[in-house]
Parts: sequence; C-alpha cells; structure tokens
Amino acid sequence: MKPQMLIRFIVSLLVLLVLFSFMLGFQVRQNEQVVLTRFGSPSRVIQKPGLYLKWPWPIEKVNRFDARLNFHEIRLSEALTKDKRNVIVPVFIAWRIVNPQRFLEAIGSTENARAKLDSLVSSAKNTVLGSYDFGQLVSVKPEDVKLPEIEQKIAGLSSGQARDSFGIAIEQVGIERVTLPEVNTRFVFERMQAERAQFAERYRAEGKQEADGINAKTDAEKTVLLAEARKSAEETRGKAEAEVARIYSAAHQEQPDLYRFLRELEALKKVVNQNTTLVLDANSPPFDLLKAAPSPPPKP
Amino acid sequence: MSRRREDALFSAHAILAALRSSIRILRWGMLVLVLIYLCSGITTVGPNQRGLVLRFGRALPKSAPPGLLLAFPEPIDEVVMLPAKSVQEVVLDAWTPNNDSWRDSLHPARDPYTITGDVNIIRARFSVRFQVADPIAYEFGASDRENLRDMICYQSACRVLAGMSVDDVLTTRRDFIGQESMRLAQEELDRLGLGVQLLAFETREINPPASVLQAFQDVISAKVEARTLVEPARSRHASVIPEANAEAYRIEQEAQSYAQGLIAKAQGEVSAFLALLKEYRANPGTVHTRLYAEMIEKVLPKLRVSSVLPTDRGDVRILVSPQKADEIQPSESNESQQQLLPTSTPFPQNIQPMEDHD
Repeated sequence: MKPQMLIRFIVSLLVLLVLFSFMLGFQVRQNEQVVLTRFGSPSRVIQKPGLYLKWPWPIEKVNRFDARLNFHEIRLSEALTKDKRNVIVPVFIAWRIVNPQRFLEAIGSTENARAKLDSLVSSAKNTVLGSYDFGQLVSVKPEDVKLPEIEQKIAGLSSGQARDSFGIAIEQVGIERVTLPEVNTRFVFERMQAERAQFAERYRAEGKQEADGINAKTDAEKTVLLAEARKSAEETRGKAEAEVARIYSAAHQEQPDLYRFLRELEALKKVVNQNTTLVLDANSPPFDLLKAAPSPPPKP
Repeated sequence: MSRRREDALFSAHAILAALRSSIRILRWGMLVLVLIYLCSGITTVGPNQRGLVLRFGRALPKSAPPGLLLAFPEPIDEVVMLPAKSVQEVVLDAWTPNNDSWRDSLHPARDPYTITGDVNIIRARFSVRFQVADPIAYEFGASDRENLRDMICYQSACRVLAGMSVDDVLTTRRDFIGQESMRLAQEELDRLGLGVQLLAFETREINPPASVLQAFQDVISAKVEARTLVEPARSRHASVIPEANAEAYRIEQEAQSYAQGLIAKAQGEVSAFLALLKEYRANPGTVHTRLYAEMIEKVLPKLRVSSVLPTDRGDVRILVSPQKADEIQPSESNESQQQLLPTSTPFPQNIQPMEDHD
C-alpha cells in the first residue's frame, strides 16, 4: 500500500506541475520575440528564446512576433530622376522587428507593417531617385552605376523613421530591376532597332574595308617583292657585265691590234646580210685572183 | 421481495466488479499512453536532414546528424528538421517572357525585364545552385527565405547588367554576368546572415525582347558577312605572297645564271683569244690572212648582189640581176651556200663573170 501511495503522490504532483506550467509558463521559440501585456499595457519584452513565467491568463497576455527577417516587395510606382526621366524601379526590402513593444503599440500586425513600410520606402525611393541622373542608374561604365549607393540612401532615409516609429529595422533595400514606363518602351524598341541596324551596317562596312585593306597590302607586298628581285637581278647582271668587260680588256691589252682586227671581222660577219649590196674593187683580194691568169702563184 | 433484493445486491456487486476491472484496464491504458507520450520525442533524422532540438523554444547549439534522435516530449523539446548540406537548384525565371509574342511595348509588372547600361531591354533566365551552409541560420534567418534569396539574386543580376553594354551582355561577357552576380549575391546573403552558400549562378537564357530580336540577329549575320569578305582576302594574301616570293627567286636566279653564263662566255672567248694571240705572235701574217679569208668566205655568200669594179678603166658598171636575186629564198640559199663554202668555189652562183660585158 505504501509504494502505491508514493506513486499516486508523484503522479498528482506531476499533473499539478504540468497544469501550473501551462498556466504560468510560456515558451519563446527560437524565431520569436514576445511582448507581455498586463491588462493590455506592455509589461515585459523578451527577445531571447527559452521558458519564461508569467501571471495566468486574464492578468498577463503573450504577444508573439516574428524575430526573423521579413521580405516585402514595394508596390510599383513611377519615379522621376534628376534629369527628368521617368523610371520604374521595383524595390524590395528585408525588415525585422527590433523593438517589439513599439511595434505592438504602433502597428500591431505584420500586414499593417507592410502597408506602412510600403508608403515609407516608396517616398524615400522617390526622393532619392530624384537626386540621381538616369545615367547613374544604368551606364556602360560600371563605375558610374550608383545602384548600391541609391539602395543605401533609400535605406538610410527610411530606416530612421521605421525604427523610431514602428520598431522596425530595414536591413536591406534592394533594387530588383530598372525598368521604364510602358509607353517609353516603344521608343526604346525603335532606338534599339536603329542602333542594331547601324551596327550591322558598320560591321559590313568594316568587313569590306578590312578585305580591301588586305587586298591592297597583298598587292603592295607583291609589287615590292618583285621590284626588289628585279633590282637585285639588274645589279647581278651589271656586276657580271662589268666583270666581263674587265676580263676582255685585260686580255685585249695584250695585243690591241689583233683584237681590233678580230672585232672588225666579227662586225662584218654580223652586219652583212642578204640585202647588202657590195661594190668592190676588182683588185681587192680575193677577186684579184679572178682577174689574174690561172697560173700558179709566183714562187718567192 | 428478498429475492429481488438479492438480485439487486448481486447486480451491484457485478457492476462494482466490472468497474474495478475496467479501472484496472484503464490504469494500464493510461500507463501505456504515458509511456507513448514520453517516447514521442524520439524520432529519426533522414539522410538529407539535420535534426535540431528546440528545448523550451531555444535551439540547442548543435544539430543532430542523420539517425536516431532522442528528445524529450513535446512541450519540453521540439524537433525541427533542417535541410542538410545537399545541393539545391532553383531556376529564376521571373524575367522570362510569359509569351514570346511580338509586342511593341512592355509593361514593367506584367512583362518583367531590366535594362542594360546602354538602355537596351533585356530578358533573362538564370539558374542558381546553392547549399545550406548554416542550417540554423537558414531556418531562422528569414520568414520568407526562398523569396528573399531569389530576390537578392535578381538584385545582383540587375546591378551587373546595369553596368554592361548589350553587346557585352549577349556575346563576349556573358559568363561575367553569372560570376559577378554570384559574388554580389553572396555578399548580400552573408551580410543578412541567411546561411546560404551559392555554388553556381548560370545565365540560362538572355535575350532582347522578341520584337527586336530580328534586328539583333541581323547584326550577327552582318558579322558573318564581314568575315566572308575578309577571309578570301586573307587566303589570297596567303597564296599570293609565296607566289611572289617564288617569282622573285626565279628572277634572281635567272639573273645569276645569266651573269654566270656571260662571264663563262667571256672567259671562253678570252682564252680563245689568248690562244690565237699565241699563234699570231708566232706567225702574224698567216693568221691575219687566214682570218681575213674566213671572213670573206662567210660574208660574200650572204651578199645578194655583188659586183666587182675594174679599176683600170675609168667607167664603172654595175651589173644587177634582179630575177636571179628574187628566185633565191633567203634561208635556202644561205644553207646551200654555206655547204658550198668549205669546197673550192669561193664565189656565189649569182655573181656573173666579167668577161661578157667587156
């Protein structure tokens, strides 16, 4: 009977403990933060997860809030840049409740927060975009693109109020895209097409120009090559002729009269042809032999 | 009456007995329920998971590996299954056209796009591979973590594209978009502490809108055309220059051989001359006469008409015989006469004897 009593006692104690813990204790989960309200007015803020005690229900109430980052896309709206160009820059934010008590007092629910943040960030976005040129949103020079700076300025401009009035920290402002109003896209298309046509034209022209250039270069190189070859050939010939002249003159110095005689004979052989009519003195040899009697030549 | 009373007593006893036994069963049942409850915290962690125990809502510092996980029952412990470090892939296709139909304007919300540095509208599809680097941070970092992660990727891509020209985007630096976007997105994810490690950021598709696609393709074909113009010129250069080199070499070689020939000829002639000279010095008169006679033999047959003037008398007569001269074919006569020359006849046939006219 005795151990049975002990078991009963333990069981009833456990049941009581569970009951009390449900009435008096509450857990704050890892992803939560809590504001305890006593008869409606905030009494305690708990931002660390764990098990906590409170007065049972009608006295104290647990208001749970998300401690994680929340993601929100700001409603699309047109904005004007400094150089008066219409742009539509979709923006998103990542925000977190950092002061749950203020959040509870000022806004209460996440849905309300979204609406408030929407208008807050939208107006900050319009203000910031109004102080930047369109060329600082997009530019072919990456160093001119000021999107990160714009994001930071929007965050800077809106986070002060968000923190002070709503207990919200805006941890990130991100520009998702850079777009233009629908009517403007038509002109952009036209310009894109014109640009492309221009590029196509330029590529064709450049191709032709390059081809012509290569052809001209080919011809010039060829001409130079051949001209140099001819020049060097001429030099070779000239040197050879000079050498020949030297050889001849060296030989002919030996006996100039014989040379002259030989040259004259050669010249005669070359000059005389079928059309040459020769008028000769009959006494000149060998015709003198014709006139003389066919007698044996006189013995010397 | 007593009979009825007995009956009632009996039935009361029976009910009591039944009640007692059912209470016993109930007690055992309760015990089983309590045991089941106490064991309800024991779960298994799947192969691609990590088990995280929240004790009174607070995460224990270490997550449990796959296998059996012993935890206390519900109000004390809560087991959260986290995705392990397996690689996941998401396709970011918010900038992809819903329908590819030709349209002459785009609505910024209905047809999402972004613009490049030179204000060209561009539409794209990316795919991102990532790994959960820090499961706890991933689980408790953000309430809408998938959307936030995707949006950070879009933000990075937008920033990269805003600094590039459309030509770079579409052609040469297409890979750069993914690399740079990944770098920027990773920075942002780390700054926000979302526990996500990006592994790859790929540009699956990046195009100008359908309505201007034709113009872009025309540029590509213009490039191809330009190449078809340049290539033949290049190949012509490649063939003409070696040809010209060969020609130049030929010209120089010709000159060389001409020069060598010329010198050889001169040397030959000179040595012939020197030989003759030797003979001439020994016997000048004979050599002179012989040379002279040889010349006459060669020259006289070529002459069409020759006439010999007698010097004794004063009047000069020239005999011309045109018929005979016409009959002679130049080449034939040359050959025949040259054949005749070495023989005794010193005169060509067309020279008439003098005596007839005297």
